[in-house]
Amino acid sequence: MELTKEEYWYWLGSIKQVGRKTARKLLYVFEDPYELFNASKKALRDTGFLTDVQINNILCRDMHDIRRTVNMIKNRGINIVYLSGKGYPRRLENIPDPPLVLYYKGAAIDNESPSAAIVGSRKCSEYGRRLAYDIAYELAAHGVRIISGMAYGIDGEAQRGCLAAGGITQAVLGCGADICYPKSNIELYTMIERNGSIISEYEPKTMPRPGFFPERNRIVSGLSDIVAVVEAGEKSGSLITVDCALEQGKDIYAVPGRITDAQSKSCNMLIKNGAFLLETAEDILDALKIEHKNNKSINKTENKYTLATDEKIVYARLGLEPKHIDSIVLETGMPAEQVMRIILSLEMRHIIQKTANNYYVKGV
Amino acid sequence: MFYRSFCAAVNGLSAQIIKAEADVTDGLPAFHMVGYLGSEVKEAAERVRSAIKNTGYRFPAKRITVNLSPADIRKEGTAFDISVAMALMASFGYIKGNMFEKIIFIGELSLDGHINRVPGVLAMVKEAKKQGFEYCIVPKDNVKEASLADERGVIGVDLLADVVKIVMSDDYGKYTAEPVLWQAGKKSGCGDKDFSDIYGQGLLKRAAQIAVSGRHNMLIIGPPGVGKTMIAERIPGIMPPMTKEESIETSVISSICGEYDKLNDYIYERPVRTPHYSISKTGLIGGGHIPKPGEITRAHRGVLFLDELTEFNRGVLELLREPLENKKIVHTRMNRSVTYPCDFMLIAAMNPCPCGYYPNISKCRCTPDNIRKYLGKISHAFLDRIDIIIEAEAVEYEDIGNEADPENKGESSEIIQKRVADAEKMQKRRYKGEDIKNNAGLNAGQIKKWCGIGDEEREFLKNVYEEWELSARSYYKILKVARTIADFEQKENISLSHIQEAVFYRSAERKLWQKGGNIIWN
Repeated sequence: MELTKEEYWYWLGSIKQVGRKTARKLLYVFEDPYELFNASKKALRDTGFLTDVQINNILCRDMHDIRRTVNMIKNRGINIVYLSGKGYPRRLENIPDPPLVLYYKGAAIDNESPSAAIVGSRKCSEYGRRLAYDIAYELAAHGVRIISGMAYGIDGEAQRGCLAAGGITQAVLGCGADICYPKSNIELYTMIERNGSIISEYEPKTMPRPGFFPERNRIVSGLSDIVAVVEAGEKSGSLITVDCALEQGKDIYAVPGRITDAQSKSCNMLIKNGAFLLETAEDILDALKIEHKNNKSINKTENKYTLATDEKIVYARLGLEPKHIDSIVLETGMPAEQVMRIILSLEMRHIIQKTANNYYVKGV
Repeated sequence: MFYRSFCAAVNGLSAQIIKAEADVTDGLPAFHMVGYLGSEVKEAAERVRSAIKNTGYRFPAKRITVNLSPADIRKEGTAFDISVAMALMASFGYIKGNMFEKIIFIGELSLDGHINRVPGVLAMVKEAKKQGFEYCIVPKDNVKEASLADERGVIGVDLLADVVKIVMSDDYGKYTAEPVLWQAGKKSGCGDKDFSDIYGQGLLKRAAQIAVSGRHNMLIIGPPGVGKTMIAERIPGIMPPMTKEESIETSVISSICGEYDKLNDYIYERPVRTPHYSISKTGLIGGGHIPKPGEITRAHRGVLFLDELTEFNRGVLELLREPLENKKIVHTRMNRSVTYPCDFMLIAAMNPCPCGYYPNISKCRCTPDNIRKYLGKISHAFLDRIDIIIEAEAVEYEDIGNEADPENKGESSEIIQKRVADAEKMQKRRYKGEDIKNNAGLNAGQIKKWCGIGDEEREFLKNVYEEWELSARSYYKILKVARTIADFEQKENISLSHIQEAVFYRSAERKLWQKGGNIIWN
């Protein structure tokens, strides 16, 4: 019996106690997983950097086992690509520490079309959520691929925006590609599977671990032409993506926020340190040299509604910053029930939007 | 000689008349008590023997048999003591037993002949009067309680000797206690807690008034220290005063639970029960081998306030679902089935997230997963029983700071109570002949009948229904609450503004409990 190349690579990626770094050293010595697979114990020991446990783990290889597992993975609709193999995104070959094996669900990993990573914190404000969605929407409408991590907050919202525009989006997970994390994004997960790909360097069935998320960030930035940070607080994981992107020589775009907002701290810091300031999707389209169609931009909302006087009074009290309905009651001096009615009727017409717990902002 | 006297045993919220039969014959000296008795009833033999002896009578060495009839009902409690003692003393020939058919004896004996108070006297006296007994002899400590409900012929006694004296006299009338009179229109707030103590929170106050007007269950979501508990404590104060019947119902429950200190007068204040979240299933809905009322029954005609709703054991909360619908709870045990009423208004309060500060991004330390998990502790089935969900905001400094400014003070409970009472009157008029009293009790058919809306309103609701993906149950809830808002404003017809406000009270559910959506901070 002879294993396919793919199966050899899968094996290389799945040897216990042998991480990416050791595996790369081994590849340097043996040139091909096939050679490694057939290496003698002596040859392994001669490499000089393997521990006894590692050698043992390499030696206890079972072709049947490997084949069975690979078949099982494929039966779950998960594809395997390996470094320098067919279907492996060429961009990733040039980044430091490229993943040896990639698993993906959905469409083959697109490498050609212009792409942008949109990342940010899980804990986001309405401002960030809306910008992530809208920027992704507009970029996708111009054929830009959106890459992100399918997390709560900015990541997921950007991908939702992209899907809403009918674009292609790629999600890089910090767990096996067959696991939807976070669970409540299952709708997004299935939609991405149909309109893009879900990518992971971890074997299927691997549960998410804190250490995996920083690692996957290098793939997010590696797959994209530029990286845009929408909202990131201090010590945000998005900064890791930014570091990776800089290492890989990509441009960074950041959406500015108010200096008092905790969740915009890192964005402002990035701009201060020389990141491009991201205002509208056009900034990115220009960078990617894509001609923009004359679409209505999201930030130039016009008030196309005719409002009654009392509705105008309430509307005037709202901005992009969420405001609690009790504050509106206090400011306008209207009775609570009247404000409630107006707020609801405005909300139903999408003139204003509820963010959380009776807080409202102006709608788009 | 054979004599019998009468006493009563509590069964659920009513009582059953029990005959105590005593037979004294010659023979080997013995004292038998029979009739399916609990151990505390069997022990009555020792109490009665000592009490009779210590009252100054000789306890003859005869063959004594006491039977409590009907003998197939399990008897518990100590209220049979005097009755047994009387039947015995008549059998011994110390007193005459010719009046026993008209008297009911309730009370526990001490060894020295004193008479101790017992729970459930009010229920027993009511039943005795219904059965045509003329006089009720009760422990002195229970006299006030027994005299509630205009019952005449209640005689309070302190010593077994007093009982003997009364039974031997010809004129029972001079011993009877004055009945306690119902004072209509007596102020029924909740102590010194007034609505005007609360600053700001216009939304919450409005929602509370609407909720009370239609007796809708309400959930308050808000960060720590915004006055959730404050509002809940003041809600009984804006509920319309209890009617005499309602007051007696609550008194009976208090009587059975042995809350003697509440029973010195009619209860004018509606009960508020605030069980701690460590409460057990039995504690909440009642039960036990001999079913006893739980918190939901004690909150009958009043308010059950569940603070920190998410901390309650999930299984305990789910138990509330059925009583909330049926307004009563049936405890079925092997040899009995007891029904307790529990027509209460549920007010629940919870934090919006584990740390309490969501959606304040600078204060909240929770992750989206934390928040989802936290909210997930409340099941949809439970939420379905709640008509009004309202979110409260931290109070601004200006609101507290202007304490001295009388303009800043809100309406007092008294004013609000009047408005609520008016809204209730409208409902009473409308539901004459129906089996419900308020809007919260409307079923689907009744909603169709009483909550008719126009085309404009229908169109609006259709939009909301589709846009928010409401369930049919939520849709009906909106109509019910809209009906209450219209009643609150003394309008016969439900208009668009009423519907809008009602929809507003359901919008939190959509934001917080619908799956998929993103959790956004401010």
